[in-house]
Amino acid sequence: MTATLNYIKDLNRETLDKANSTHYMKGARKGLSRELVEYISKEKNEPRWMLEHRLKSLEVFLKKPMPSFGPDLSGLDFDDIIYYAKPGEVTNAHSWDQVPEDIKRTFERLGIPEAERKYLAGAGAQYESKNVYHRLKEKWSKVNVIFEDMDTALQLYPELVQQYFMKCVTMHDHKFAALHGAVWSGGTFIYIPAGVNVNQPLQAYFRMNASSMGQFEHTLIIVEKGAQGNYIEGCSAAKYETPSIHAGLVEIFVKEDARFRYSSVENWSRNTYNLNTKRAIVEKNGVMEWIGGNMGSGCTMLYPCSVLRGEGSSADHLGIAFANTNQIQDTGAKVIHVAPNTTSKVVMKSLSKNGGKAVYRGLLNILKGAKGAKSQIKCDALILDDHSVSDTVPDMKIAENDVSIGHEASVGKISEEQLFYAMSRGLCEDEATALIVNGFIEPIVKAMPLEYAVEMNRLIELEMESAGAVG
Amino acid sequence: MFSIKNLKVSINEKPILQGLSLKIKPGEIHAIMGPNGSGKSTLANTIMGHPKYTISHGEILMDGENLVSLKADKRARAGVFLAFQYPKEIPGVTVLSFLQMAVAAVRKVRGEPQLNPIEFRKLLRSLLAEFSLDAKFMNRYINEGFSGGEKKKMEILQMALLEPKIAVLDETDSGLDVDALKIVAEGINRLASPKRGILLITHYQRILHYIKPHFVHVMIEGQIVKSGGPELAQQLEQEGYDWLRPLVTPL
Amino acid sequence: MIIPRHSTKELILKHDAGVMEIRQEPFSKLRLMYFQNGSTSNENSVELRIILDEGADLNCFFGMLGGMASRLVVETRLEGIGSRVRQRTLYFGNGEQSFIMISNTVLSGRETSAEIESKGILAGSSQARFDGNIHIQQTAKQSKGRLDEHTLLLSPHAKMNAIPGLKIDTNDVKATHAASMTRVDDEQLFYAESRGIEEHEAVRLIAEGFLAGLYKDMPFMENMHQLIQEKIWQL
Repeated sequence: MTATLNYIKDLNRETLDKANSTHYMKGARKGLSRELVEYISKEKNEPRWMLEHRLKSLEVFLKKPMPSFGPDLSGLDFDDIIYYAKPGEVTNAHSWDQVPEDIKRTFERLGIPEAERKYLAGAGAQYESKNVYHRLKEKWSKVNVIFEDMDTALQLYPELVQQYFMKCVTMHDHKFAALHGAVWSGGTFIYIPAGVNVNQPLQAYFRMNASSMGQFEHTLIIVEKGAQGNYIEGCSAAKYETPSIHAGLVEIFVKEDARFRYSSVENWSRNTYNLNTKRAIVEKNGVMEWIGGNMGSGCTMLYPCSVLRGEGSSADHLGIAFANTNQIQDTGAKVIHVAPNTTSKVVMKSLSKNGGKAVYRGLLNILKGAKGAKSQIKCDALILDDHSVSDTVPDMKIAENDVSIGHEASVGKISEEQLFYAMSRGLCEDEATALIVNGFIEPIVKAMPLEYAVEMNRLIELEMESAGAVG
Repeated sequence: MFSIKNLKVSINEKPILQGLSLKIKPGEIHAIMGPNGSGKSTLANTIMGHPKYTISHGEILMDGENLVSLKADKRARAGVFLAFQYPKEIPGVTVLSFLQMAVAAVRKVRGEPQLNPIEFRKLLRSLLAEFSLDAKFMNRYINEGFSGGEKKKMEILQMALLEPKIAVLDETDSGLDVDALKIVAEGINRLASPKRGILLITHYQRILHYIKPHFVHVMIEGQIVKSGGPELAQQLEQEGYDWLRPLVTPL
Repeated sequence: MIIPRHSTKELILKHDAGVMEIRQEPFSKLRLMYFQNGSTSNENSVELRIILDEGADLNCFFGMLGGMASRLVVETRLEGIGSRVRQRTLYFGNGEQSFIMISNTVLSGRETSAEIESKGILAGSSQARFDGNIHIQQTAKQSKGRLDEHTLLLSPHAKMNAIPGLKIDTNDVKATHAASMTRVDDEQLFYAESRGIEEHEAVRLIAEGFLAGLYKDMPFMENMHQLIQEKIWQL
């Protein structure tokens, strides 16, 4: 146990960040320009409409102001970022041997499947993953389920993609959506035909693609009438390669009577600005579930959004945010009730430690006409020491009276009575704290897919142990 | 005076009462017994006019007038009373102001003279004493923080105040200890009169030791499967409900 | 305005109170009432900045009933150890009235406590915004903050925007907030109707009850009660 504790103490974010600079982007250009956008489109051999969409997005990006709320983004220098690199320009594929020992051990400690470890280390072992992927692909194609990487999907199913691409989140939504529209590359495309129930979770790491740097991935998911599916995005270990800005986009269309769950654990390393946009439009009687864990990155702004457009539709948002030293987790949930008899539930738990700052920023918008809307929001924050911080900023706009809206939040430290009780049963303070923290996040972890639930728990353990004593 | 004819009731499109009929004459005490889920509370709430239940067929007649299309307050003024199984709290509204309004409404309809505030307070105080409730209850918010026994007593107190023609008592005995049960039962017996019909809905036999019904009906799966005299209640106490299940007409 | 140490004072502000600054010296007790029931063609704006020293106690009540467009801004700073504030805001809108209420409470002293409550009824096409913030600073160890915002919406044209915020910079504290927006509860309505009370009357009864708990221990309660009843009768 002590050996493990020691290397955990030694492992810190810097190790991961250092490795970053060695192989990064030789020859790839920095900065954003019309030429770059045209280059990207040409490289990918895209249909004309996509090129036009990119160019228009670029125009919008250049005109739009930065967001007027949230954490300080002044450290973002748009000219100093590499927006796109050809396969090979990024030497993604260094061998597994070159990966530092402590990174390997972290993966082991986290119980990450072998294939995924190599992907995360950038050791590019698409080999194993490709085999797994192909087997599953056969199974899905029998029921006409499409699970493809986004670039390929655009080539194979252009009309289908055009019907939905950036219709859920448009380039006009905000600056980073526009940026995304201009330089997006890679990502996931999922199409589940009507009535099909894909009960095995579709996982991101199945469709690994060496050419994608992962910063501007576009995920487009279409769940047709009566269909069901479940997608797990992201990795739960610190990504070894660390782009400085992550402005991905996730768009999900949940059609009538369909059901979809999107789980992700975001854990980027220190100097990343994680500015993802995730949104789902839910039609009549559809159900959308967002399960998320936000652990890493220096600065996260992430507010999954559900638009309840169809009568009787509903959304559940469950999330955990953990803010450690120098981290700002500015996360939350946005729910917009448009149609009558819609329901939403938001449960968010945050932990802040060692000077970390966890912010819950939520928006609940009940539009006129959304009669019978019901919404319950619960956000709780545990601040683990006296120099960490937590903010709760929920915004509730109600324009209908036939509604039932409840919101509760509580912020504080671990209850002394609970601690005392646990310790009176023989647990030491660290163990008691860990136990209580686990209980705190349990309702959310419980909803996560099993492998990720385990990893989530271990990740939190790691975070709790790092930089010295607990609490 | 009061009759239910072939009542079919559903909630959220799920049928619960399957063509139920019942006649109660003034002065009669009827008891309805049945296992959980038999639809007893649905019957009680439907008689009172709870909006979440849909009547698809049938009539509820009070002195010849069909109540089915009337809202709850009109039914109350026509002389129907429901003692709730789970009386609702209304924060900020005192027992005094609530009952004052209720009494004023019912007296107006009957053409009876109104009580001035002092008279009403006096009446309320004496009733509270009758039910062993502290006078302070007058200024407490209705049902808020009341124990189970206090809530049930308050329901019967309201019945005494409003003097209905037909009183439906929905599991008034549930959750009561022996002393509270005695007080509640005495209250009900005091209110029994040749002019009033009482429909006692109960799961257990207990209250029937204190209140003697003239008729006992057994309800299973939304139907009355058997009617009889008080001895039927004793038979149920000894044998349970199972022997009557074969009598249930399937949908 | 200074409230001298160890003194107990009562202050009633009129709707033209404008901008006011108050400092409560150590161990002073202040009971402050602001009442606004002006003509519905008026615009009103009141800004209060209050600082509390050690042991100071503030019990304030804001009744927002009148005016066409009303604005209330209250900033309270609990600087002294052990200072406390209990702030209650009541609003009742009908017709085209609009209310903007901003309440910022900053706890910087140790062992301070803030209880901020707001309750309102919105009928007709009225609208309200309650922007309530409690900020517990790092120096405010062992402090407590509670923020409750509850709105009863009586009409489909009423609009409510509630932003209860908690900003907590240290952990040795307890802070909660709760907010709700609902229409009249169906079961309560049914219960009242089952006692012969007609729907319209029942809504008035329930609306009155909704607000009653907020001001029941205030002086001038009768006055407030009457004014609210008048507004309720107009529903």
